[in-house]
Amino acid sequence: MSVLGRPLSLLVFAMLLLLLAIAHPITFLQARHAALDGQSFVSAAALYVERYEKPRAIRDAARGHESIGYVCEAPIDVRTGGPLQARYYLSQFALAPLLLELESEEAAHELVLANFQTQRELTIYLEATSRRVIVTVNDSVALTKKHEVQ
Amino acid sequence: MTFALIALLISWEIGWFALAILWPRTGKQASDVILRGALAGGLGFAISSVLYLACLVAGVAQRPWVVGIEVAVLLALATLARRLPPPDEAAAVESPDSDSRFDWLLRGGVLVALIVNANAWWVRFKDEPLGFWDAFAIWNLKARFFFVDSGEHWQRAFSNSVSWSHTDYPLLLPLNVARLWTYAGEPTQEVSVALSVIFALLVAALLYGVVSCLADAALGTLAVYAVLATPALMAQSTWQVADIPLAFFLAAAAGLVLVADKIPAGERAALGVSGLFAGAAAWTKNEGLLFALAIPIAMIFVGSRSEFSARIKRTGQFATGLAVPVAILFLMKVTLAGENDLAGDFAFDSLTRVFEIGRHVEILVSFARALVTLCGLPLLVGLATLAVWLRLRRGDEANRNIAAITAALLLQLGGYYFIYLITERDLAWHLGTSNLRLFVQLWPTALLLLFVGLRPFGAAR
Repeated sequence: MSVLGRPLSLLVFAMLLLLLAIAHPITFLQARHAALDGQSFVSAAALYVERYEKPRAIRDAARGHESIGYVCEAPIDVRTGGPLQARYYLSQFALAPLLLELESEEAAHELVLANFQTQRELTIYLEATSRRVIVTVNDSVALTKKHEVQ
Repeated sequence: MTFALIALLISWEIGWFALAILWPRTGKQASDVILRGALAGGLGFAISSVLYLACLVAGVAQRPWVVGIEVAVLLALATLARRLPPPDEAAAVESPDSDSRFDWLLRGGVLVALIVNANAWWVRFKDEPLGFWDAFAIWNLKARFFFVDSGEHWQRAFSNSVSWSHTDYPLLLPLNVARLWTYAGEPTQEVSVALSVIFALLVAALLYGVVSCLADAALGTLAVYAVLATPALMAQSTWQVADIPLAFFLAAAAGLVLVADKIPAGERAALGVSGLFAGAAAWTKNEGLLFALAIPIAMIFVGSRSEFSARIKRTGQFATGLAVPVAILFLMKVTLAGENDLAGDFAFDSLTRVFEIGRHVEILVSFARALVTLCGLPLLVGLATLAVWLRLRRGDEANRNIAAITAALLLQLGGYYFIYLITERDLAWHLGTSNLRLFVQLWPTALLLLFVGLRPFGAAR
């Protein structure tokens, strides 16, 4: 059989692949919309997480916590550890050129640790990088509490 | 932003004229033009990155200088390209292009899929404007050093104080980001993400060009559908990391080796340009160097039934193109780069890990998971069904170089496997943080092999 001079099988395979090419972005958008909407948070977020392969630490910590929809979008990678380590990494990215002005690496690290002792300072950093971020600030990796930095 | 768009146009034109000099073609068919357009895009980025590095070294990486030097190079290449004698007609690929209404309908489908994916790309960018972890930890961080300290301290990007940012990584991507920022006058994330998405589009255009030239225009369109239907590849298109640029250069190098088989009169030039793209892959990411070695090894020992001396000769032609980018990479590694973390951690005791069965199982399971995550079961089943339905070409019908490229791809995968096997890092962590991206790097080349190897629709079954 043929369609417009081409085999029907071509049409079938083209439709199948085109459907797949359209389906996955739509699934992503729907899951994200549901997550941000606050509706069926956990299921939508679970779909989001499973499908888009976020780190296992987030997936494990996320079970049973409604904050998952937001956490998926946080740039701070929870697998690196608690807030101290997150702060360390953040400051390194933000201040790397500045760190190199210092004479010793120890002095640089002291600056790193001193730089984000308060949430105010962290907020300044986050504003400076124009990121929409939600950060967990409790001492454990578990995502039991979320703070949206305004 | 307007200046950044001009920068993109300039680099593409540099690539176009450089390609016209290195691989003169006479083909005027749409598939041929799209193939050359995609190759020109990648080659332009490779050349522009080297020019920008030269500007940094010379201490003149400010906008007026960068623009002036690039325009001068562009004019020189354009003049040279026009003065070259017209190429041999036999060096053109005669593509079985099709202009039936049905084929145009299929191409319309690409547009629909692109629009839907573009919507998702925009949302992803708004959610994560700085991209994936490696984007702001490694690639854009280097670009920021080059842009902010372009005058005299740009080498700080390679300082031990930022050794966690992999100071040995090649520079094609960060140099291009810094170059676009220099044109734009500010370090905007829009520029960085646009570059990331452009490479994903180049992958799709490249596959269409190669498959259309070597197999069938309809199969070329289906190859583009397959690229757009790969969830992980599309999701990573806004990550601003080097894996998709690397995927493009690997597929380009592989595709040109396949194209070379079809044009005996232009084989030498095509193989040389293939080597150049393999070198560009090495200039993009360390994994590219492995592929640049895997292709010549495979060309010598696998595939083509020609005599051994002929294989050596063809490999030499490939190596000619490879030499320049690898020399630049070598210079960068010797003069600028820090120590490679994997090489630094290596101890001969690590080799005993190859006898640990548990590690093999863990890696194989992770590879299988990565493949399913990469494309999803429906796409895997769809492609397998397509392969069974159309059947692979055999014997004289097939491209002689398919076996060589397949072997190179397997060597590359084997290299990744071996690194995981002996890694000093926690294996689960190492696999979890990199495995999927490694599969994204190889996927376009794998799709290329599949679609070039299939019999066209309507061929006798």
